[in-house]
Amino acid sequence: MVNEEGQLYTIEGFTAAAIMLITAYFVFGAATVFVPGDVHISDMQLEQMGSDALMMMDTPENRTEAENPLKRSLLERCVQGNDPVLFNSAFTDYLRDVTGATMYVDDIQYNATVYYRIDATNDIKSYHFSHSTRGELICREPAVSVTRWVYCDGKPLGSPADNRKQDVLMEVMLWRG
Amino acid sequence: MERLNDEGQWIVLMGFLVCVGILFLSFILSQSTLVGQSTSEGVLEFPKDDIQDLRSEIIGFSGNSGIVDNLGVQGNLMGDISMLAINRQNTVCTFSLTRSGDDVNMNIHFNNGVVEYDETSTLP
Repeated sequence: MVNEEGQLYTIEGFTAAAIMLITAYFVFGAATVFVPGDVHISDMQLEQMGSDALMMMDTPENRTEAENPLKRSLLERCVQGNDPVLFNSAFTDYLRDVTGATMYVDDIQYNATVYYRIDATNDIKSYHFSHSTRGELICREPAVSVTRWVYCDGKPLGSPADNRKQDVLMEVMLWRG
Repeated sequence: MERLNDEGQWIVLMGFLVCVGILFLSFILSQSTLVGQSTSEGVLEFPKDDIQDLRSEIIGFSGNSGIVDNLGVQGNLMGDISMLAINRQNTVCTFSLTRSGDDVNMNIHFNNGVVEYDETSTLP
């Protein structure tokens, strides 16, 4: 092994190693049926993005808004005034801003529901609030859920909720599709 | 294998040595995926956004004297939050706001079975 033939042996060694590794790769690869762990990473990113978008919508945009305890944010205005169109445009804009998506390449869908409590019976009820263009049905892709508390100074306009000061829960399902 | 004499054994041995080296590196690589997965699972499981949301909501209440000084309204809101949290977030949530002088004392309890969060603060 100390003469010049050693180089050839090493090269052949690498060749043999490559053949063995490729065989092992195919054997183990054929037995892998479980989804890769990367799914969790993209789920986490989607959930964080949804939470951030809702948080930005629930943050006062100026001093006047911040000092008004009844309608402190865009999200509260949307829910109290039952304005799904405003919600849709603002929420979609935030999602597009952080992903760089456009009107034509828009792969994040959502479906928003408002949950509220009936005081007399202590029941939890819900009504559909808004959804994206292809967000009517939650299908194919596993969705993640993000929530946000919304204070309403009275009954949300046109909703079946109680007419009192109350807190409702906005729940948004998000998925790629 | 080269000239098909007994030196072929050396080649196979070298092959195994290189193989072990590359296999070792591939183990390190495969572990990195596992680290990424458990990290993101940890992030998913820790209810950072839920706690921040609950805090900001209750701090918002503290500036509304119609809620702080009216125990009926406060009880209603507390019922809303605790019932909705247990139904939709599998979380036990309670809070209280009491006025003491010019300040408002805030208590928050949050427990979703994984993370427990308690806060007592005085807000101006």
